[in-house]
Amino acid sequence: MSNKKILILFISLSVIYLLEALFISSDASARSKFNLSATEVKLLSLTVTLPIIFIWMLGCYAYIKFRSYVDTIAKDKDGRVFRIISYGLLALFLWLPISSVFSNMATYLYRTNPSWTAPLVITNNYINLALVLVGFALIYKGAYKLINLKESRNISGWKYITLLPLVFISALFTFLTLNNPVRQFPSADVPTAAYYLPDWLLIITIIIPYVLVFYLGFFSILYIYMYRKNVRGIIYKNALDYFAKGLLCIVLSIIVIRYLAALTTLFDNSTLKIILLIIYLLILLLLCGFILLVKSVKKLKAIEKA
Amino acid sequence: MEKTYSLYDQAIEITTDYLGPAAKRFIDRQIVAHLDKKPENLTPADLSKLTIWMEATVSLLTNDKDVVSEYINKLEELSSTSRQEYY
Repeated sequence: MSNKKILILFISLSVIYLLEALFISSDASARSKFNLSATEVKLLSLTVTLPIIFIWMLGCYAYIKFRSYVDTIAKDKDGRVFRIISYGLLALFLWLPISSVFSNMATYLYRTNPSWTAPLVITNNYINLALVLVGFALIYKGAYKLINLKESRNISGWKYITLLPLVFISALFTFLTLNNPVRQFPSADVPTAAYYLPDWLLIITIIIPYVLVFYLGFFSILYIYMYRKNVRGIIYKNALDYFAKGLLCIVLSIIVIRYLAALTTLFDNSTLKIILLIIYLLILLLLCGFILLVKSVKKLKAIEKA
Repeated sequence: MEKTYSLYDQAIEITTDYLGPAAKRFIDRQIVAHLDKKPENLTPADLSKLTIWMEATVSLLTNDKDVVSEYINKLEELSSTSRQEYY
């Protein structure tokens, strides 16, 4: 896909997302619960929509720059490896706009046709998962090859250190998801269930793949850090440092998003201030991740242009 | 001929400490762009001229002046020792 096509795709998704935020009517029960008018809801949603669109555009910019960097080093070993990582980044950068646009569209559709709710929620969950899984699988593949470019690969100690938080995060995610009272069926307070799947299918097709995503994400970061540690080049290392930190912020935000999905009922009892605070913090985390990636890609590209 | 090749190799070796895997590509670009010659044919006199360009270029990649001056000192040292051996 050419840079122009990618840019058009991101702009189109951003316009659709903005139109959805402006023209899809908000949930009447939620409005009355928080005592907000329709205009207030629209203004509030814009405070979320606009920063999110900005993050998408940063992602688009980072990808285009990264691809141009990869093109300049395509013939070398590191170039071939970074190309695989660039495909993963594209899937990851597309995950946000595609899942957000589809999610808004699905919400609108099942609000007007309640019988479509379950299939739309299920489809939305799988689209989310598929893009994140493909993205991190490719980044992991690239990061694994990257560490194999260097001779010293003594990372077994670091693997155990990485596994500890990973096991904790995965166990907590599994526990929260399987203890979500509205995971399969909605309740009187929560009109939409989180997954509409029986537990065995939820474990096999949602929980295990997300644990795999966490694993791929954490180990991609570990491999990039280890490559950074072993490779020579003070200035080059600095650029890779930003890359790993940016990726870490994105992995953490995905973990937060999954936790929030598992805590649906908690949100139903929260005040608007708390909900907004969590959303803004999540946006901030994503923004940090994308800014760090842009910084890294700009540095890597500058080295090849110098 | 062997000595000039070795100088090119040594310049890459020094640059690798700063630019990592991008070092060879960086040196090649600098030689072709500023000296208009094949990178393998680098002479000590060429390296001396090139160091001025490299200082300006690397200064754009990092704000750490110590790193830049350390790199340039190493290149200048290489240039002067190779010059003595070369002539």
